[in-house]
Amino acid sequence: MELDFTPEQQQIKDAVRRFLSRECPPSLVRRMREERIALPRDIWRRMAELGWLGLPFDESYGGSGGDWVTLAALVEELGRACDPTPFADCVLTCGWLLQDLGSEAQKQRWLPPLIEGELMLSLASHEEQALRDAGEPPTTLRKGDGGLRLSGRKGFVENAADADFLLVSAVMDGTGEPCLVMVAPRAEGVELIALHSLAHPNLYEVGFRDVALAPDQLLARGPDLPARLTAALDRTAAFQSAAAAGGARRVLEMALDYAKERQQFGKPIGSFQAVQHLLANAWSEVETAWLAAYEAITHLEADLPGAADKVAVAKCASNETFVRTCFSAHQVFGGMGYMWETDLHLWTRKAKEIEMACGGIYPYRRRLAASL
Amino acid sequence: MDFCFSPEQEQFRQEIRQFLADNVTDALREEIAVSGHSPGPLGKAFLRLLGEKGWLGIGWPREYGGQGRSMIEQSIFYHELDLQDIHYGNLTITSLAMTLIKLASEAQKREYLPRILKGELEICLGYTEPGAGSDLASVATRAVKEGDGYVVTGQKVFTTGAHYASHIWLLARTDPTAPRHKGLSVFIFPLDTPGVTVRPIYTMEGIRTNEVFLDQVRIPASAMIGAPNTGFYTIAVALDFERVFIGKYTKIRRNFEALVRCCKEPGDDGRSLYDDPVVQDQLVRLHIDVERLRLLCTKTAWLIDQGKVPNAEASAQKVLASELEQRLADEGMRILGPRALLEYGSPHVPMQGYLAQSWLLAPMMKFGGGTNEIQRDIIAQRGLGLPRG
Ligand SMILES: Cc1cc2nc3c(=O)[nH]c(=O)nc-3n(C[C@H](O)[C@H](O)[C@H](O)COP(=O)(O)OP(=O)(O)OC[C@H]3O[C@@H](n4cnc5c(N)ncnc54)[C@H](O)[C@@H]3O)c2cc1C
Repeated sequence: MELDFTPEQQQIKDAVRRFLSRECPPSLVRRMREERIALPRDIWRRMAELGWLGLPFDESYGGSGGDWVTLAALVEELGRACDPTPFADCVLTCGWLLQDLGSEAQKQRWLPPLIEGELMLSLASHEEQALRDAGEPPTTLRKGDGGLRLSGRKGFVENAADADFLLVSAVMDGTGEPCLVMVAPRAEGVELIALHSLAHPNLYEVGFRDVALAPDQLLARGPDLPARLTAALDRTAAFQSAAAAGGARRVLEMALDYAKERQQFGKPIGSFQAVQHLLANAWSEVETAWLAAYEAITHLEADLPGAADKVAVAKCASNETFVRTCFSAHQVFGGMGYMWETDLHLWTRKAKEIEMACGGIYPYRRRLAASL
Repeated sequence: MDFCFSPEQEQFRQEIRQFLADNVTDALREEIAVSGHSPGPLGKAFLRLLGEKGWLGIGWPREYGGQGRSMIEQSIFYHELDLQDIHYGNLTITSLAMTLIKLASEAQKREYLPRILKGELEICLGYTEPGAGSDLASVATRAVKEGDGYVVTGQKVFTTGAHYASHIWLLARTDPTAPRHKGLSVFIFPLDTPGVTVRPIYTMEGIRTNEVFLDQVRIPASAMIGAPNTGFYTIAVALDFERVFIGKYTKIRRNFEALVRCCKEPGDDGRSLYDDPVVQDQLVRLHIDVERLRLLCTKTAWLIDQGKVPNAEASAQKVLASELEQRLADEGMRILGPRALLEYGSPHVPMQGYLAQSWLLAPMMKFGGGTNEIQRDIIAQRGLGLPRG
């Protein structure tokens, strides 16, 4: 058993922290929200130059095939910095899916530019009855002259306007076979509708009206595809648990600093037992959330039995802890923390965004209810 | 003992319902949804209409233009307004006017109360300062006696509504030599008095509040409410009324009912979220606490009718309501999933964005009007008689 990072892992973690505090300060996060924009690409390219986008990928595609704890350390730091990057969506989910499911030719073609920061991918797999009109069919592929045609609608696509391709889940007309295709958001027949979320600043609903696809835009098909998609989202959820723990720890530190500094009744508010208990509870939660995240990640990496349940525990524990820690920090900061120009609310929004990602909390609670 | 409304009260409810059915338009609701706390042109007209009906002063004595009805009737009225999504958190009427009735001089009551009823007078609260939040006894704004009046100098912060209110209700130090909370007084004066500067600051939900700078502001002695140096007591009474109002349960109940309805809509494969026992368990727990809050609100209204100022009860109501509002919004959003993140005006927004709005508002409810930590101290020390820490 070893519950700490190796010196090399710690070194990378420190480097990521330094980079993010320089390149992705809260002022950038706030500006992205105010202007509803995606991360400036030059910052993303610099992250690529440092080799960070290649961590999950095989060396044959230009990646470094790193261990998962190193990758998790990076993701934890992203969460700490209130992650303005598309790392979770573009690298962890889409890039990894491409490596899992793509043909050799597709991987050779798309993974190197992704690792170099030149190719932006975004997942478009979210469909639910509440977002559809009555009687509207699910997203469907049809065989057309010389290729495939895509029609349907997806919700909650991050940075869709900024992406080079969307990975879109669909079913084959007639057979109902599940498929995954790559579609350029600027292709003819694709419509982007901005959604206004209190969390992600750059979110879209994407409509597909008889969009023509070349054969090599079909990434994967087959009855096991939904299960493989779920597994991929599980993996992202496990890493995002580290991000949640990192974000929660940062917010707790902000609250601790403020509790030592702010004086009321002639003493620091951190000397009041009510404030101490609030922060003591937050600390216990954050510590256990962090442990749950890394246990899930290492279990998943080693493919141990019960890993899926560990992921569910990590997802629920860490994501809910992140939200609750933000609430506790708001309580400590009082009026100051509720102002637009103070930073705390940026993390509060991020916390809810992470919670809703990868299907949200309830599917994971249900998984645990079924497996107890 | 009787937990039911009387036939007269039920009849009054019907009268309000009919009036609201006749006068609340979608345009008004829309205006409220986008304008936040401050009433726009339709809201102002609507408030004037309520004033003409006498319904802004339902619980006030008749001699000041009120209807001399009970607090229970007043809470029926606000309940019905909330059910129509009309949330005017007007503390001038629900907290300050009630305090004036209890503590102001006869001349002040005659001067202010009828104008408040007509909607001519709206008062913002000038308690908090950069250095004085929970510890209000440490306010540094000074009011110095000069001739037959006072000269006020200092700074207030988070003064909500100062950019549209007509008056400010200000806590200032009048005796710097007395023990901290025995040297404070409360004043009311117009915001257009020379020397007052109002600057905007914005909250995380994008709503405006203000900083107010007071530079040698000259006000008459008649602006003081209550006796000199009893200001700390005056604001304690006002804050008790404020907490009763902040801790209203109707908005929470309405959000809860809308959430249940939303959960019952058929989803993919025809099953609804409500069919899931994991979801039901959370909804049932929320329901029980909404009921608890309803009962506590009934109790505080009843206490006011008995001529008392609810104290530990008011604090308990504020704590319960603010924490329940947060839990309902937070867990409700979790139940609905990603679409619950959408805000008012976005395509596909569920529950017209009320849950998302309430989620952003909830942190403030837990420290505004006196933080929940301070409320728990009040319950423990004033309510339960425990020694001070
Ligand atoms: C949107 C908004 C609108 C507002 N509107 C108004 C307004 O119109 N007029 C007005 O006057 N004010 C207004 N306020 C201010 C509000 O009332 C204060 O924020 C609140 O009273 C808390 O004060 P504070 O922010 O200075 O927090 P602090 O007093 O600094 O408290 C910080 C933390 O320390 C804790 N703490 C402090 N003292 C103790 C203690 N003795 N024991 C235990 N814990 C303690 C608190 O509970 C809290 O958790 C508004 C605030 C906001 C955000």
